[in-house]
Amino acid sequence: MTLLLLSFGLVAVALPAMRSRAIGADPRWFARLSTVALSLGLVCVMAALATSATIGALHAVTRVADDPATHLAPEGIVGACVSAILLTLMLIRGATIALRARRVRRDARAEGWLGEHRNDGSHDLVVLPTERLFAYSVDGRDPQIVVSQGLRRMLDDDFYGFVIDHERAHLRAGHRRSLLIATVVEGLLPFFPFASQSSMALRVAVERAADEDAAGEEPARRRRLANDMVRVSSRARVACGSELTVFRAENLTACPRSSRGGVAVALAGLVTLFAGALAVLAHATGDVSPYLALL
Amino acid sequence: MTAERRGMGELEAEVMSILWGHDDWMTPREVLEQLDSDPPIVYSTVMTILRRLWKKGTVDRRRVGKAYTYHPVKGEGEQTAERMTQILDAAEDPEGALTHFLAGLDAPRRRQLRKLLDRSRR
Repeated sequence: MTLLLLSFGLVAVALPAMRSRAIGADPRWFARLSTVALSLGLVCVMAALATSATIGALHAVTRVADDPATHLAPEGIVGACVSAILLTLMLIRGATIALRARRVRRDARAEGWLGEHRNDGSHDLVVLPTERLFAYSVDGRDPQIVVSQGLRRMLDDDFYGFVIDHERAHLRAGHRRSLLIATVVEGLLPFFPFASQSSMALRVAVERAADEDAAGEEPARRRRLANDMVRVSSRARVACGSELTVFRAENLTACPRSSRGGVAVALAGLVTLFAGALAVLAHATGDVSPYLALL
Repeated sequence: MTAERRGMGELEAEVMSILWGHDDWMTPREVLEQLDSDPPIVYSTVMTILRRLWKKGTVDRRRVGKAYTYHPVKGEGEQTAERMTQILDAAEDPEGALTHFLAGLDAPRRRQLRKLLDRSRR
């Protein structure tokens, strides 16, 4: 049962990496579904560990498992101890990552006296006095889009508008939550190779989704923005550089596509996975209740 | 609500500019007298801004009689340089989960990215 729940979780975490070809076709849906899959996967893995630890502890208290061989099973005493330790480590690591992300978000927010501020209705647009090339957004109660003066100077008005719309799309879609989930999954499941691949797939999808929202559907403008993106990236010399920018530019040059069929299949798969995990959890609760009654 | 918040951000900048422009410790009343804003700002708003700045560690305060007087912790240049360093560090922190237009990646993540993009192009 624990193994089944664990398998559900790991399959859900692996799904975005296995379906990464869909990033190009429909990045918005890919980002949404990947966020759900990674969250669901993480919850299943942690629920599996919690179930194993709880049932093992109840076995120990009620002395049901006297056969030493059963101690090594996931719900045996040794298995329960290992699960409890893993779960504790995961909770500590998860909290550390979440707190660090919170501190970074607080530090990244520019105070009123720093840089030039302009309120654009839904957010504060801040231009910071530095020649470094960057643009990012900070969500929360007073959302900000922060752009460096160096980047602002380098861009023409159309591409600058695209950058602002790109960041606005991140704020509107709540992409920071998706990135936080990607970071947590990557940090909590470092030995599961699909975890880092799925996290990366989600990161790429989030950038592509914001590109699609900002670029609109006019082919000539999309081609121009794609060329500018490659030019700006090569001048910024960012470490991700060529690969991600070229991929984003290639997809901007291509006409926007929609893959309703793929989305429907992915959605059905996730619902099935979720229903399966719920069924296993319900079964696990059934197994625990006699012990609770005994206590 | 948004206009009020924007006002607070702009006022924060004006208040800091006044404090940086004076060597002495200033009371909220003195700051208010220096503020040139339309519509006029009330005393309690200045108090709120100064308290917020004090909580953030940007200004220091000391009690003089019944009131507090305020003074910037650092000079304008030093404070700006320190915050810019923090902002640049935060903007480049890969664990920060910030959304970037041009994201930098460390070596392991670049490898993952290459693998992923190869697969998604196939």
